[in-house]
Amino acid sequence: METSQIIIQILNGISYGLLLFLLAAGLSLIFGLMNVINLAHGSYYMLGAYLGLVIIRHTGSFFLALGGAALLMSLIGIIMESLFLRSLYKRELDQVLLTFGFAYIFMDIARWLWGGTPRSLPKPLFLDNSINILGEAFPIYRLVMIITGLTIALALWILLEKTRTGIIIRAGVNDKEMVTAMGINIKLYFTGIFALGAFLAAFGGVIGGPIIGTYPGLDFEILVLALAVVVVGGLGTLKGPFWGSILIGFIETFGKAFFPNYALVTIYVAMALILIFKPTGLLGKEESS
Amino acid sequence: MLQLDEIHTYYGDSHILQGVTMEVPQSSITTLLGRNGMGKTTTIHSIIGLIPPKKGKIKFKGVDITGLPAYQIAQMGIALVPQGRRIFRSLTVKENLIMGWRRGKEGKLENDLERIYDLFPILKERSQQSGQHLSGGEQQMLAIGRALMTNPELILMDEPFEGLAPTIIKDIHRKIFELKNSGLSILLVEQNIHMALKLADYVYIMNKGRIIYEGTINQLKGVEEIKYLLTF
Repeated sequence: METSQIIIQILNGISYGLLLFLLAAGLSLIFGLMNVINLAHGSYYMLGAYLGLVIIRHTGSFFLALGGAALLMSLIGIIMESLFLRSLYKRELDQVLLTFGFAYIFMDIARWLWGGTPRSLPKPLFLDNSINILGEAFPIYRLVMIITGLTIALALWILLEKTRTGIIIRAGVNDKEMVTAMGINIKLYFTGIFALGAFLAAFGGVIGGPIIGTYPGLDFEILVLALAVVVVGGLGTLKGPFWGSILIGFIETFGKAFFPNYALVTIYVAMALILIFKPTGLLGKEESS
Repeated sequence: MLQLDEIHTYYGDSHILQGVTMEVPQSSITTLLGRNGMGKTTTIHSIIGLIPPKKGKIKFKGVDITGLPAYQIAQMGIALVPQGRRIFRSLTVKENLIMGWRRGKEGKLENDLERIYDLFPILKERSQQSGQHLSGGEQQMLAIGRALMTNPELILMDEPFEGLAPTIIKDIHRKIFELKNSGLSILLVEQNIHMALKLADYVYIMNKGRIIYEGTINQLKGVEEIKYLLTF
Protein backbone atom coordinates (compact mmCIF):
# COMPACT_ATOMS: atom_id res chain seq x y z
CA MET A 1 0.00 0.00 0.00
CA GLU A 2 1.31 3.44 -0.90
CA THR A 3 1.98 6.22 1.57
CA SER A 4 -0.76 8.36 0.09
CA GLN A 5 -3.29 5.61 0.66
CA ILE A 6 -2.10 5.10 4.21
CA ILE A 7 -2.46 8.81 4.92
CA ILE A 8 -5.95 8.71 3.53
CA GLN A 9 -6.84 5.71 5.64
CA ILE A 10 -5.49 7.52 8.70
CA LEU A 11 -7.62 10.56 7.93
CA ASN A 12 -10.62 8.32 7.34
CA GLY A 13 -9.99 6.61 10.65
CA ILE A 14 -9.78 9.92 12.49
CA SER A 15 -12.91 11.36 10.90
CA TYR A 16 -14.88 8.18 11.59
CA GLY A 17 -13.48 8.04 15.10
CA LEU A 18 -14.47 11.63 15.85
CA LEU A 19 -17.97 10.91 14.58
CA LEU A 20 -18.17 8.05 17.06
CA PHE A 21 -16.81 10.36 19.74
CA LEU A 22 -19.87 12.61 19.39
CA LEU A 23 -21.97 9.64 20.49
CA ALA A 24 -19.63 8.05 22.95
CA ALA A 25 -18.94 11.29 24.85
CA GLY A 26 -22.61 11.64 25.79
CA LEU A 27 -22.95 7.94 26.55
CA SER A 28 -19.93 8.06 28.83
CA LEU A 29 -20.95 11.23 30.69
CA ILE A 30 -24.51 10.01 31.21
CA PHE A 31 -23.16 6.76 32.61
CA GLY A 32 -20.61 8.52 34.77
CA LEU A 33 -23.15 10.80 36.35
CA MET A 34 -26.27 8.64 36.46
CA ASN A 35 -24.98 5.04 36.27
CA VAL A 36 -27.30 4.54 33.33
CA ILE A 37 -26.27 3.19 29.95
CA ASN A 38 -28.64 5.02 27.63
CA LEU A 39 -29.58 2.40 25.05
CA ALA A 40 -31.60 5.02 23.15
CA HIS A 41 -28.42 6.91 22.38
CA GLY A 42 -28.11 5.40 18.89
CA SER A 43 -31.72 6.45 18.26
CA TYR A 44 -30.78 10.06 18.98
CA TYR A 45 -28.16 9.73 16.26
CA MET A 46 -30.57 8.18 13.74
CA LEU A 47 -33.47 10.53 14.52
CA GLY A 48 -31.06 13.44 14.35
CA ALA A 49 -30.12 12.41 10.82
CA TYR A 50 -33.79 12.09 9.77
CA LEU A 51 -34.72 15.41 11.33
CA GLY A 52 -31.74 16.98 9.59
CA LEU A 53 -32.97 15.59 6.30
CA VAL A 54 -36.43 17.09 6.85
CA ILE A 55 -34.98 20.48 7.74
CA ILE A 56 -32.70 20.46 4.69
CA ARG A 57 -35.69 19.66 2.45
CA HIS A 58 -37.68 22.56 3.83
CA THR A 59 -34.97 25.16 4.20
CA GLY A 60 -32.13 23.97 1.99
CA SER A 61 -29.69 24.82 4.74
CA PHE A 62 -27.33 22.16 6.05
CA PHE A 63 -26.31 24.32 8.99
CA LEU A 64 -29.88 24.97 10.04
CA ALA A 65 -30.37 21.21 9.89
CA LEU A 66 -27.34 20.67 12.08
CA GLY A 67 -28.45 23.09 14.78
CA GLY A 68 -32.17 22.38 14.48
CA ALA A 69 -31.92 18.59 14.66
CA ALA A 70 -29.52 18.77 17.59
CA LEU A 71 -31.76 21.18 19.51
CA LEU A 72 -34.91 19.17 18.82
CA MET A 73 -33.25 15.97 19.98
CA SER A 74 -31.92 17.61 23.13
CA LEU A 75 -35.51 18.63 23.85
CA ILE A 76 -36.55 14.99 23.45
CA GLY A 77 -33.68 14.04 25.76
CA ILE A 78 -34.93 16.48 28.38
CA ILE A 79 -38.47 15.10 28.15
CA MET A 80 -37.22 11.52 28.36
CA GLU A 81 -35.11 12.23 31.42
CA SER A 82 -37.39 14.49 33.39
CA LEU A 83 -40.70 12.75 32.69
CA PHE A 84 -39.65 9.10 32.63
CA LEU A 85 -36.17 8.29 33.91
CA ARG A 86 -36.52 10.56 36.94
CA SER A 87 -39.44 8.60 38.31
CA LEU A 88 -37.11 5.57 38.45
CA TYR A 89 -34.45 7.52 40.35
CA LYS A 90 -31.75 5.27 41.84
CA ARG A 91 -33.19 2.19 40.10
CA GLU A 92 -30.47 2.06 37.46
CA LEU A 93 -31.38 -1.30 35.94
CA ASP A 94 -34.99 -0.23 35.44
CA GLN A 95 -33.74 2.99 33.89
CA VAL A 96 -31.56 1.10 31.40
CA LEU A 97 -34.53 -1.10 30.46
CA LEU A 98 -36.64 2.03 29.99
CA THR A 99 -34.10 3.48 27.56
CA PHE A 100 -34.17 0.16 25.68
CA GLY A 101 -37.94 0.50 25.35
CA PHE A 102 -37.50 4.02 24.07
CA ALA A 103 -35.00 2.78 21.47
CA TYR A 104 -37.67 0.45 20.02
CA ILE A 105 -40.32 3.15 20.06
CA PHE A 106 -37.97 5.55 18.27
CA MET A 107 -37.15 2.91 15.66
CA ASP A 108 -40.85 2.30 14.95
CA ILE A 109 -41.55 6.01 14.74
CA ALA A 110 -38.72 6.39 12.23
CA ARG A 111 -39.96 3.50 10.13
CA TRP A 112 -43.50 4.85 10.24
CA LEU A 113 -42.53 8.40 9.26
CA TRP A 114 -39.71 7.78 6.81
CA GLY A 115 -40.10 4.16 5.66
CA GLY A 116 -37.42 1.53 5.29
CA THR A 117 -35.37 2.91 2.40
CA PRO A 118 -31.90 4.16 3.27
CA ARG A 119 -31.54 7.88 2.71
CA SER A 120 -28.58 10.13 2.39
CA LEU A 121 -28.19 13.73 3.46
CA PRO A 122 -26.88 16.14 0.80
CA LYS A 123 -23.55 17.76 1.58
CA PRO A 124 -23.38 21.53 1.71
CA LEU A 125 -22.43 22.47 -1.86
CA PHE A 126 -19.27 24.40 -1.05
CA LEU A 127 -17.86 21.39 0.77
CA ASP A 128 -18.60 19.02 -2.12
CA ASN A 129 -15.01 19.02 -3.33
CA SER A 130 -11.79 17.16 -2.90
CA ILE A 131 -8.24 18.08 -2.16
CA ASN A 132 -5.19 16.34 -3.47
CA ILE A 133 -3.06 14.41 -0.98
CA LEU A 134 0.06 13.00 -2.68
CA GLY A 135 -1.91 12.32 -5.80
CA GLU A 136 -4.98 10.87 -4.12
CA ALA A 137 -8.26 12.73 -3.88
CA PHE A 138 -9.61 13.30 -0.36
CA PRO A 139 -13.05 14.83 0.20
CA ILE A 140 -12.96 18.24 1.89
CA TYR A 141 -16.12 17.26 3.76
CA ARG A 142 -14.21 14.64 5.75
CA LEU A 143 -11.57 17.19 6.59
CA VAL A 144 -14.28 19.53 7.90
CA MET A 145 -15.67 16.62 9.91
CA ILE A 146 -12.30 16.21 11.58
CA ILE A 147 -12.05 19.91 12.40
CA THR A 148 -15.61 19.98 13.75
CA GLY A 149 -15.05 16.88 15.86
CA LEU A 150 -11.86 18.26 17.35
CA THR A 151 -13.52 21.62 18.06
CA ILE A 152 -16.37 19.91 19.89
CA ALA A 153 -13.95 17.73 21.84
CA LEU A 154 -12.08 20.88 22.87
CA ALA A 155 -15.31 22.66 23.85
CA LEU A 156 -16.38 19.69 25.96
CA TRP A 157 -12.98 19.57 27.60
CA ILE A 158 -13.23 23.26 28.50
CA LEU A 159 -16.76 22.77 29.83
CA LEU A 160 -15.69 19.87 32.04
CA GLU A 161 -12.31 21.12 33.19
CA LYS A 162 -12.60 24.89 33.31
CA THR A 163 -16.14 25.73 34.42
CA ARG A 164 -17.92 25.33 37.74
CA THR A 165 -20.60 23.26 35.98
CA GLY A 166 -17.89 20.90 34.84
CA ILE A 167 -16.42 20.67 38.32
CA ILE A 168 -19.83 19.75 39.70
CA ILE A 169 -20.33 17.12 36.99
CA ARG A 170 -16.96 15.55 37.75
CA ALA A 171 -17.72 15.65 41.47
CA GLY A 172 -21.03 13.92 40.71
CA VAL A 173 -19.19 11.13 38.91
CA ASN A 174 -17.20 10.58 42.15
CA ASP A 175 -19.92 10.90 44.76
CA LYS A 176 -23.47 12.03 43.97
CA GLU A 177 -24.75 11.94 47.52
CA MET A 178 -21.97 14.24 48.70
CA VAL A 179 -22.75 16.67 45.86
CA THR A 180 -26.35 16.96 47.11
CA ALA A 181 -25.13 17.42 50.67
CA MET A 182 -23.12 20.39 49.34
CA GLY A 183 -26.41 22.09 48.45
CA ILE A 184 -26.43 21.27 44.76
CA ASN A 185 -29.52 19.96 43.01
CA ILE A 186 -27.86 17.18 41.06
CA LYS A 187 -31.07 16.26 39.26
CA LEU A 188 -30.74 19.44 37.22
CA TYR A 189 -27.34 18.20 36.11
CA PHE A 190 -28.81 14.81 35.21
CA THR A 191 -31.28 16.52 32.88
CA GLY A 192 -28.59 18.80 31.51
CA ILE A 193 -26.17 16.02 30.72
CA PHE A 194 -28.95 14.03 29.06
CA ALA A 195 -29.81 17.02 26.90
CA LEU A 196 -26.16 17.50 26.01
CA GLY A 197 -25.77 13.82 25.13
CA ALA A 198 -28.81 13.92 22.85
CA PHE A 199 -27.57 17.16 21.29
CA LEU A 200 -24.17 15.70 20.45
CA ALA A 201 -25.61 12.43 19.13
CA ALA A 202 -28.07 14.21 16.81
CA PHE A 203 -25.31 16.58 15.74
CA GLY A 204 -23.29 13.50 14.83
CA GLY A 205 -26.26 12.07 12.94
CA VAL A 206 -26.44 15.12 10.69
CA ILE A 207 -22.66 15.43 10.28
CA GLY A 208 -22.35 11.74 9.42
CA GLY A 209 -25.51 11.85 7.24
CA PRO A 210 -23.78 12.67 3.93
CA ILE A 211 -21.38 9.75 4.41
CA ILE A 212 -23.28 7.04 6.28
CA GLY A 213 -26.82 8.12 5.46
CA THR A 214 -29.69 7.01 7.66
CA TYR A 215 -32.00 3.99 7.76
CA PRO A 216 -33.97 2.00 10.32
CA GLY A 217 -31.46 -0.22 12.08
CA LEU A 218 -28.70 2.36 11.95
CA ASP A 219 -29.67 3.29 15.51
CA PHE A 220 -28.62 -0.08 16.89
CA GLU A 221 -25.61 -0.43 14.60
CA ILE A 222 -24.19 2.87 15.75
CA LEU A 223 -25.14 2.18 19.37
CA VAL A 224 -23.08 -1.01 19.31
CA LEU A 225 -20.11 0.91 17.92
CA ALA A 226 -20.48 3.60 20.57
CA LEU A 227 -20.69 0.89 23.24
CA ALA A 228 -17.51 -0.65 21.82
CA VAL A 229 -15.87 2.75 22.14
CA VAL A 230 -16.80 3.17 25.78
CA VAL A 231 -15.81 -0.39 26.59
CA VAL A 232 -12.42 0.19 24.98
CA GLY A 233 -11.89 3.71 26.30
CA GLY A 234 -13.54 3.43 29.68
CA LEU A 235 -16.65 5.05 31.11
CA GLY A 236 -17.29 8.15 33.16
CA THR A 237 -14.68 10.41 31.59
CA LEU A 238 -14.09 12.39 28.42
CA LYS A 239 -10.55 11.18 27.74
CA GLY A 240 -11.72 7.56 27.63
CA PRO A 241 -14.28 7.92 24.85
CA PHE A 242 -11.99 10.30 22.95
CA TRP A 243 -9.08 7.89 22.60
CA GLY A 244 -11.46 4.95 22.41
CA SER A 245 -13.23 6.56 19.45
CA ILE A 246 -10.00 7.25 17.62
CA LEU A 247 -8.84 3.69 18.23
CA ILE A 248 -12.11 2.12 17.12
CA GLY A 249 -12.18 4.47 14.11
CA PHE A 250 -8.72 3.26 13.13
CA ILE A 251 -9.46 -0.40 13.72
CA GLU A 252 -12.64 -0.12 11.67
CA THR A 253 -11.07 1.66 8.67
CA PHE A 254 -7.76 -0.21 8.67
CA GLY A 255 -9.53 -3.49 9.33
CA LYS A 256 -11.66 -2.93 6.26
CA ALA A 257 -8.64 -1.95 4.18
CA PHE A 258 -6.21 -4.67 5.25
CA PHE A 259 -8.36 -7.60 6.33
CA PRO A 260 -11.61 -7.09 4.43
CA ASN A 261 -12.63 -10.68 5.14
CA TYR A 262 -12.63 -10.05 8.88
CA ALA A 263 -14.07 -6.53 8.79
CA LEU A 264 -17.09 -7.61 10.83
CA VAL A 265 -15.13 -8.93 13.77
CA THR A 266 -12.01 -6.74 14.08
CA ILE A 267 -13.67 -4.32 16.49
CA TYR A 268 -15.01 -7.07 18.69
CA VAL A 269 -11.66 -8.83 18.81
CA ALA A 270 -10.07 -5.58 19.99
CA MET A 271 -12.88 -5.10 22.50
CA ALA A 272 -12.50 -8.61 23.90
CA LEU A 273 -8.73 -8.24 24.22
CA ILE A 274 -9.07 -4.98 26.13
CA LEU A 275 -11.76 -6.41 28.39
CA ILE A 276 -9.48 -9.32 29.23
CA PHE A 277 -6.42 -7.25 30.02
CA LYS A 278 -7.97 -4.01 31.30
CA PRO A 279 -11.58 -4.53 32.38
CA THR A 280 -12.17 -0.86 33.24
CA GLY A 281 -11.17 0.24 29.74
CA LEU A 282 -7.98 1.96 28.71
CA LEU A 283 -8.75 5.20 30.56
CA GLY A 284 -11.78 4.26 32.61
CA LYS A 285 -12.99 5.68 35.89
CA GLU A 286 -11.27 3.69 38.62
CA GLU A 287 -13.38 1.53 40.81
CA SER A 288 -13.93 3.22 44.14
CA SER A 289 -12.20 1.28 46.85
CA MET B 1 -30.50 26.47 66.11
CA LEU B 2 -31.38 22.82 65.42
CA GLN B 3 -34.03 20.70 67.10
CA LEU B 4 -34.77 17.03 66.59
CA ASP B 5 -38.10 15.94 67.95
CA GLU B 6 -38.75 12.20 68.36
CA ILE B 7 -37.34 11.22 64.99
CA HIS B 8 -37.57 7.67 63.67
CA THR B 9 -35.38 6.71 60.73
CA TYR B 10 -35.29 3.43 58.85
CA TYR B 11 -32.57 1.97 56.71
CA GLY B 12 -34.45 -0.39 54.46
CA ASP B 13 -36.41 -2.49 56.91
CA SER B 14 -34.28 -1.89 59.96
CA HIS B 15 -35.48 0.65 62.45
CA ILE B 16 -32.28 2.58 63.19
CA LEU B 17 -33.34 5.73 65.04
CA GLN B 18 -36.06 5.00 67.55
CA GLY B 19 -37.28 8.37 68.69
CA VAL B 20 -34.26 10.67 68.91
CA THR B 21 -34.77 14.05 70.54
CA MET B 22 -31.92 16.49 70.76
CA GLU B 23 -30.92 20.09 70.29
CA VAL B 24 -27.93 22.04 69.00
CA PRO B 25 -27.80 25.60 70.34
CA GLN B 26 -26.10 28.45 68.50
CA SER B 27 -22.30 28.97 68.74
CA SER B 28 -21.72 25.79 70.61
CA ILE B 29 -20.28 22.35 70.14
CA THR B 30 -22.76 19.61 70.81
CA THR B 31 -21.35 16.12 70.78
CA LEU B 32 -23.15 12.94 69.93
CA LEU B 33 -21.25 10.07 71.52
CA GLY B 34 -21.70 6.39 71.01
CA ARG B 35 -20.09 3.21 69.83
CA ASN B 36 -20.08 2.00 66.24
CA GLY B 37 -23.43 1.09 64.74
CA MET B 38 -25.53 2.94 67.31
CA GLY B 39 -27.10 5.33 64.80
CA LYS B 40 -24.83 8.35 65.01
CA THR B 41 -24.19 8.66 61.28
CA THR B 42 -27.85 7.93 60.60
CA THR B 43 -28.73 10.87 62.85
CA ILE B 44 -26.42 13.12 60.81
CA HIS B 45 -27.86 11.80 57.54
CA SER B 46 -31.39 12.34 58.82
CA ILE B 47 -30.62 15.97 59.60
CA ILE B 48 -29.06 16.77 56.23
CA GLY B 49 -31.85 14.88 54.46
CA LEU B 50 -29.87 12.04 52.90
CA ILE B 51 -32.04 9.53 54.78
CA PRO B 52 -35.22 11.40 55.72
CA PRO B 53 -36.88 10.28 58.94
CA LYS B 54 -40.25 8.54 58.65
CA LYS B 55 -41.62 10.03 61.85
CA GLY B 56 -40.82 13.05 63.99
CA LYS B 57 -39.78 16.60 63.18
CA ILE B 58 -36.51 18.37 62.50
CA LYS B 59 -36.43 22.14 62.84
CA PHE B 60 -33.62 24.43 61.76
CA LYS B 61 -33.79 28.06 62.85
CA GLY B 62 -37.41 27.42 63.69
CA VAL B 63 -38.28 26.15 60.20
CA ASP B 64 -39.51 22.59 59.71
CA ILE B 65 -37.02 20.91 57.36
CA THR B 66 -38.24 17.33 57.73
CA GLY B 67 -38.54 15.64 54.36
CA LEU B 68 -36.93 18.41 52.34
CA PRO B 69 -34.42 17.24 49.72
CA ALA B 70 -30.83 17.29 50.96
CA TYR B 71 -29.72 20.07 48.63
CA GLN B 72 -32.41 22.41 49.97
CA ILE B 73 -31.49 21.66 53.57
CA ALA B 74 -27.84 22.34 52.76
CA GLN B 75 -28.80 25.60 51.07
CA MET B 76 -30.52 26.75 54.25
CA GLY B 77 -27.15 26.76 55.98
CA ILE B 78 -26.26 23.25 57.09
CA ALA B 79 -22.99 21.71 55.93
CA LEU B 80 -21.69 18.18 56.21
CA VAL B 81 -18.18 16.97 57.01
CA PRO B 82 -18.85 13.32 56.35
CA GLN B 83 -17.35 10.21 57.84
CA GLY B 84 -14.38 9.10 55.77
CA ARG B 85 -14.04 12.70 54.40
CA ARG B 86 -15.44 11.77 50.97
CA ILE B 87 -13.19 14.14 49.07
CA PHE B 88 -14.04 14.32 45.37
CA ARG B 89 -11.16 12.27 44.02
CA SER B 90 -10.98 13.57 40.49
CA LEU B 91 -11.05 17.21 41.59
CA THR B 92 -8.10 19.31 42.68
CA VAL B 93 -8.01 20.72 46.19
CA LYS B 94 -9.12 24.13 44.91
CA GLU B 95 -11.93 22.60 42.83
CA ASN B 96 -13.12 20.69 45.88
CA LEU B 97 -13.32 23.98 47.72
CA ILE B 98 -15.08 26.06 45.10
CA MET B 99 -17.56 23.46 43.82
CA GLY B 100 -20.15 24.09 46.52
CA TRP B 101 -19.43 27.75 47.22
CA ARG B 102 -22.37 29.89 48.29
CA ARG B 103 -22.34 33.61 48.86
CA GLY B 104 -21.93 34.56 52.49
CA LYS B 105 -21.20 37.77 54.35
CA GLU B 106 -17.94 38.35 52.50
CA GLY B 107 -19.78 38.10 49.23
CA LYS B 108 -16.88 37.05 47.05
CA LEU B 109 -15.53 33.61 46.25
CA GLU B 110 -11.91 34.80 46.40
CA ASN B 111 -12.38 36.20 49.92
CA ASP B 112 -13.92 33.00 51.19
CA LEU B 113 -11.17 30.96 49.56
CA GLU B 114 -8.52 33.13 51.22
CA ARG B 115 -10.26 32.65 54.55
CA ILE B 116 -10.04 28.86 54.20
CA TYR B 117 -6.40 29.10 53.12
CA ASP B 118 -5.70 31.21 56.22
CA LEU B 119 -7.34 28.61 58.41
CA PHE B 120 -5.54 25.69 56.72
CA PRO B 121 -2.42 27.04 54.96
CA ILE B 122 -1.45 23.59 53.72
CA LEU B 123 -4.50 23.61 51.45
CA LYS B 124 -3.12 26.63 49.65
CA GLU B 125 0.17 24.86 49.06
CA ARG B 126 -1.69 21.84 47.72
CA SER B 127 -4.37 23.77 45.86
CA GLN B 128 -3.51 22.39 42.42
CA GLN B 129 -3.04 18.81 43.59
CA SER B 130 -5.64 16.13 43.17
CA GLY B 131 -7.77 15.53 46.25
CA GLN B 132 -6.90 11.85 46.31
CA HIS B 133 -3.18 12.48 46.84
CA LEU B 134 -3.59 14.22 50.20
CA SER B 135 -2.73 12.68 53.55
CA GLY B 136 -5.57 11.78 55.90
CA GLY B 137 -5.14 14.97 57.92
CA GLU B 138 -5.04 17.16 54.83
CA GLN B 139 -8.14 15.44 53.50
CA GLN B 140 -9.90 16.19 56.78
CA MET B 141 -8.90 19.85 56.56
CA LEU B 142 -10.16 19.89 52.99
CA ALA B 143 -13.46 18.31 54.06
CA ILE B 144 -13.89 21.00 56.72
CA GLY B 145 -12.81 23.75 54.30
CA ARG B 146 -15.20 22.47 51.66
CA ALA B 147 -18.06 22.61 54.17
CA LEU B 148 -17.09 26.13 55.29
CA MET B 149 -17.09 27.34 51.68
CA THR B 150 -20.89 26.99 51.67
CA ASN B 151 -20.98 29.62 54.45
CA PRO B 152 -23.05 27.46 56.79
CA GLU B 153 -24.48 28.30 60.19
CA LEU B 154 -24.41 24.71 61.36
CA ILE B 155 -21.76 22.12 60.59
CA LEU B 156 -22.33 18.42 61.06
CA MET B 157 -19.00 16.67 61.65
CA ASP B 158 -18.96 12.91 61.53
CA GLU B 159 -15.90 11.51 63.35
CA PRO B 160 -13.46 14.11 62.04
CA PHE B 161 -10.52 12.70 64.04
CA GLU B 162 -10.88 9.12 62.88
CA GLY B 163 -7.56 7.62 61.88
CA LEU B 164 -5.50 10.79 62.30
CA ALA B 165 -2.12 11.28 63.98
CA PRO B 166 -2.18 12.92 67.44
CA THR B 167 -0.44 16.15 66.31
CA ILE B 168 -2.94 16.63 63.52
CA ILE B 169 -5.82 15.86 65.87
CA LYS B 170 -4.58 18.64 68.14
CA ASP B 171 -4.37 21.05 65.23
CA ILE B 172 -7.84 20.30 63.89
CA HIS B 173 -9.12 20.39 67.45
CA ARG B 174 -7.92 23.97 67.77
CA LYS B 175 -9.46 24.93 64.45
CA ILE B 176 -12.83 23.53 65.45
CA PHE B 177 -12.65 25.61 68.62
CA GLU B 178 -11.88 28.73 66.57
CA LEU B 179 -14.86 28.02 64.36
CA LYS B 180 -17.14 27.76 67.36
CA ASN B 181 -15.84 31.05 68.73
CA SER B 182 -16.54 32.71 65.40
CA GLY B 183 -20.22 31.91 65.98
CA LEU B 184 -20.65 28.62 64.18
CA SER B 185 -22.80 25.84 65.64
CA ILE B 186 -21.28 22.39 65.46
CA LEU B 187 -22.74 18.96 65.91
CA LEU B 188 -19.84 16.58 66.41
CA VAL B 189 -20.23 12.86 66.21
CA GLU B 190 -17.58 10.97 68.18
CA GLN B 191 -16.71 7.50 69.40
CA ASN B 192 -13.95 8.67 71.65
CA ILE B 193 -15.10 9.95 75.03
CA HIS B 194 -11.87 11.83 75.75
CA MET B 195 -12.15 13.75 72.54
CA ALA B 196 -15.73 14.61 73.32
CA LEU B 197 -14.86 15.77 76.81
CA LYS B 198 -12.21 18.13 75.51
CA LEU B 199 -14.38 19.81 72.91
CA ALA B 200 -18.01 19.65 73.79
CA ASP B 201 -20.29 22.08 75.55
CA TYR B 202 -23.05 19.54 75.77
CA VAL B 203 -23.07 15.79 75.25
CA TYR B 204 -25.66 13.29 74.10
CA ILE B 205 -24.92 9.61 74.38
CA MET B 206 -26.55 7.27 71.94
CA ASN B 207 -27.15 3.57 72.31
CA LYS B 208 -29.06 1.39 69.83
CA GLY B 209 -30.85 4.28 68.17
CA ARG B 210 -31.88 6.04 71.37
CA ILE B 211 -30.44 8.86 73.44
CA ILE B 212 -29.64 7.26 76.78
CA TYR B 213 -27.93 10.16 78.46
CA GLU B 214 -27.55 13.90 78.02
CA GLY B 215 -25.82 16.56 80.01
CA THR B 216 -23.00 19.05 80.22
CA ILE B 217 -19.39 17.96 80.38
CA ASN B 218 -19.23 18.40 84.15
CA GLN B 219 -22.36 16.39 84.70
CA LEU B 220 -20.99 13.68 82.47
CA LYS B 221 -17.68 13.47 84.33
CA GLY B 222 -19.56 12.63 87.52
CA VAL B 223 -21.45 9.70 86.09
CA GLU B 224 -19.32 6.59 86.50
CA GLU B 225 -21.61 4.23 84.64
CA ILE B 226 -21.18 6.26 81.44
CA LYS B 227 -17.59 5.10 81.33
CA TYR B 228 -18.79 1.51 81.32
CA LEU B 229 -21.15 2.21 78.50
CA LEU B 230 -18.36 3.68 76.48
CA THR B 231 -15.42 1.43 77.18
CA PHE B 232 -13.12 1.14 74.26
